[in-house]
Amino acid sequence: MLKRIYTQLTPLQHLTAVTLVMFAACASTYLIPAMGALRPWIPGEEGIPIVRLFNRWSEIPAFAGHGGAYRGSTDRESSAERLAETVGEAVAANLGPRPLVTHPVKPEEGLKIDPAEYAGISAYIEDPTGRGMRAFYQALERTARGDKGAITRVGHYGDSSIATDLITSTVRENLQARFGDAGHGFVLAAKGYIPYKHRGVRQVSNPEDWEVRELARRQDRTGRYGYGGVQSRARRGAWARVGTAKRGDVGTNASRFRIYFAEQPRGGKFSVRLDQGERETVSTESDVFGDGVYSVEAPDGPHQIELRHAKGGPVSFYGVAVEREGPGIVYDSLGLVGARANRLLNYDEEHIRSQLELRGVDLIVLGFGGNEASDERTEDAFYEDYVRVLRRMRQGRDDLGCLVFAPLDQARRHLGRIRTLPTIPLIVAAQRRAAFDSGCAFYDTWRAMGGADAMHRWYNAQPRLAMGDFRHATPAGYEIIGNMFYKALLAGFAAYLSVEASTTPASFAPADTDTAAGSPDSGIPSSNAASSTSPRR
Amino acid sequence: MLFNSLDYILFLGIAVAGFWLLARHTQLRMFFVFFVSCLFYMAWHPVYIVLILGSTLIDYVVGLRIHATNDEKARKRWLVASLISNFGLLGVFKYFNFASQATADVLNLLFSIEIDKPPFLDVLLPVGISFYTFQTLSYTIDIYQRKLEPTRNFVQFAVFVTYFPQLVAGPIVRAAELLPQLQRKIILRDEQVTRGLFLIATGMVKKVAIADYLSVNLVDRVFDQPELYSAAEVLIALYGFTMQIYCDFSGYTDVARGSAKLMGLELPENFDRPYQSASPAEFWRRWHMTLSTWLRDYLYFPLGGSRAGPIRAYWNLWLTMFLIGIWHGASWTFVFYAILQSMAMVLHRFFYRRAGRTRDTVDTWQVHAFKVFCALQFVVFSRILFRATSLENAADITARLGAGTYSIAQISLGIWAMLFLTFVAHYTPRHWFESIELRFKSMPVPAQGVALAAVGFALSIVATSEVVPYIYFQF
Repeated sequence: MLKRIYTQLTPLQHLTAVTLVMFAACASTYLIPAMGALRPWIPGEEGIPIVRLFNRWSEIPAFAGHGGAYRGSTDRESSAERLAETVGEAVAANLGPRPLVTHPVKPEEGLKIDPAEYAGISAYIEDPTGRGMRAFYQALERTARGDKGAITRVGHYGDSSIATDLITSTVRENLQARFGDAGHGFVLAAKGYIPYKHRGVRQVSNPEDWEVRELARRQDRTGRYGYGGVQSRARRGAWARVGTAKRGDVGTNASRFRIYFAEQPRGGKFSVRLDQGERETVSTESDVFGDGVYSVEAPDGPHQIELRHAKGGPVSFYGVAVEREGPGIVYDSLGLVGARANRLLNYDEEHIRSQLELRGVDLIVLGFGGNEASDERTEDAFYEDYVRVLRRMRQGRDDLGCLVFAPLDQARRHLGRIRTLPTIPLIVAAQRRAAFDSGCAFYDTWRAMGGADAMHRWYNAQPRLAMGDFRHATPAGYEIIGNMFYKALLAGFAAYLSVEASTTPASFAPADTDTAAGSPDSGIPSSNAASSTSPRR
Repeated sequence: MLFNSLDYILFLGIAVAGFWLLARHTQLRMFFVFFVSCLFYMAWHPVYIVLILGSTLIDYVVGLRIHATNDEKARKRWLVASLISNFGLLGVFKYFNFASQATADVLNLLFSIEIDKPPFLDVLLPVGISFYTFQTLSYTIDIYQRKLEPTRNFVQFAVFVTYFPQLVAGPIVRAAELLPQLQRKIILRDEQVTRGLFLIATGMVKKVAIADYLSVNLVDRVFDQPELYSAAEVLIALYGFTMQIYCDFSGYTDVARGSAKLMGLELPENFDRPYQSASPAEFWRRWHMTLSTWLRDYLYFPLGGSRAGPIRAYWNLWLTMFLIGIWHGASWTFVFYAILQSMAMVLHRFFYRRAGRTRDTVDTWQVHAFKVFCALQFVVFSRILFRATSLENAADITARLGAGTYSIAQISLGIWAMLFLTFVAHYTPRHWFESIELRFKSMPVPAQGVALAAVGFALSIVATSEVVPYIYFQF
């Protein structure tokens, strides 16, 4: 009977019947709780279908997934306005071409920081003990004052989000535009076949003649990976060139190349040549394992050095630092793709200590947590890891600043909805606790992005700020994080300077998260109050 | 409004219902379709409806004026007016900023003249502008060539231009194809209902389950940060993009054609399994067919085609293919993409002729398979320029391809499965897919509804996130 009916339907009746069945199927998702996840629309969450399209008009979406297309099409302000609707003003205010400072700051103005320079952020540096950032701020004060040769060096370790050198190059360019360009800083001598790229420096090599040993993969039994966490072993025929950038606002000049290498029994020799000059040969042979440095000086300008395996056994390089006389900033990007923080425990304790001393770093930043987000562990387990890592890296040195940089929001899609991974709040809490207990500072990247479900909002933003894996940001997203972090550093420094100038100690700020994270409205970061509790110099 | 959204499904339901409810009021129905089409377009940016309406009005008037006179000079003047207005729109909104920047780049490169801020128009690219300008041009050119009678019904003409299923990303419908359908009594056939619904479902699966999946889980990541991937992974991403763009664009066309069928209208096919092509020439006969044939009929043939002497024939071919390439976008990457494609066509023609081949020449299946393989590789590698965000990005991708690294650790099992299944499906016999459609047609009506709802639910589960835009919208 039923079959007879539907076989005799007119085309329009046919279409209507199919539509009604589909409509009934959709309605069932609202009536049957078990089918709730399949609801095509959730009242109150997503606006009224069709109508919502007319609430906010948009331009043609950028090429699927690309986050960098905003620059050419519209100006920064209109992009930021659109962005603010999705991700909030604190994030949108930091979209844009870098550096934020476009004019050179005179030395006598270096210590005068206008609050407008760091306006528009929601997360600040948290440093309740004052020990985390003091060494950095002290060094930065000398640099900002214009002391001759005063270079402030930062080493920013991290996972793939750091390895792209997008966050770090943004911070680097901002800091160098504000306080002076003291060179690109540290790069691996040769990257072999590993994914590695730095902005603002030229680096080429013949990968087939290099063997790389990565800290993240524990590929060296002795734990001597060098400052950058990767040992590049040159075989016969290996060559590498490192030089200043051809274009850009920073990184185009250098006056010193420092080559870091391993001294070892039966170590070979390498040659180094500056530009088209004479080659010099350096031996890496030693009776015992140790760390060596060889400096090549040059008049300030565009330069390149070429390293070649010259003779004998293997030569192990840790990297090359491209620097200038200063005063200025050097911001080393030390990303390790696929690494968790506890991979830093693969370092030989003495070796990493001597490497950090040799490099003269004033602040180490540890930006891990993205890969740990997939680990099913407790907050305490994460905490114990971070405490051990911070102990290994800092080794009780008060002349070395230390800051933990929380991971980006990490999310996954479940039944069509994108939600923050439950491990992320645990990792952030563990990192904050471990940082404070170890006398380190903390920067809550997760909170700066917008906290829970930020990745979802960043993904839906225009320009797109997050990748479709919900683990990484797009270049535009990384730039925002870099700008926010730069401003947080600047705000912390401003607070430090105001405390230094004051004779009255400021009141103690409780280590409560919300209070410690500061208030964008007040414009006074918590590190102001927090660092004021620290002993004076 | 994107096809792969709940908004569009509801919108289509309202549009189709209104269309058939007004079946007895022909003029009112045209008004209704025109109104909902404008609404569809205005969901992006209401101001830009002015452009499309302006273009529509100009070509409506031009069409009538050309037809009204036998004075060839006057006819030509009106045609030129149409060409200027349509290409003027494209020039200002799509190509001006690139031309300005490109001029500055070339002056800097050749004469070291630095132009700090070349003239820049802060305008948005109106969605679908490349499609509807070509559509309206076909109308005036056909009338000029006396192949078509103009319509005196403005609303009917406006529906031809703004008809929402094909408005923003084609297929590029000729006036001679759609206007006659609008002018006669529109009847819905049962075959159109089932085929229309099936096409919409197929298009959604292509877009949401395949194109978006490959886009967010592989292609976008690799192209955004190629330095994080090995050469093997970059290569796989190129294949991924090749399949993504096919499923993205042909999925759109399927939904467009399916939507039109539900209103008893037919839109032309735009794809014919393009990766089965054995040469670049065949590829462009199978890919975005309505664009290729448009330029063939309105540019290549009027220039003399292949009958204009050997050198001129090569030039005609090169120019046509170059314009097809540059039609896709205003940037240096598309300029080089256009050059690459046009040179491939010219070289193919040269060697084809030199080998003394004709259309009747048949290869052995082994030779044909080898040619298909080679043609696919050319398509895959030329896509670097199509997808790259800049020449630097294209250089980065190319450099990574040459890195000699073979790790495939970052390619998930799902990606492998998706690539394997989609490429295998692309080379399977056509009747395999037709049998699926036949099976759907033979299902009882309620079962068809249940099947479509099940596809919708499944897509909502596998959907990568919110709605991902179609690639061809930006062209």
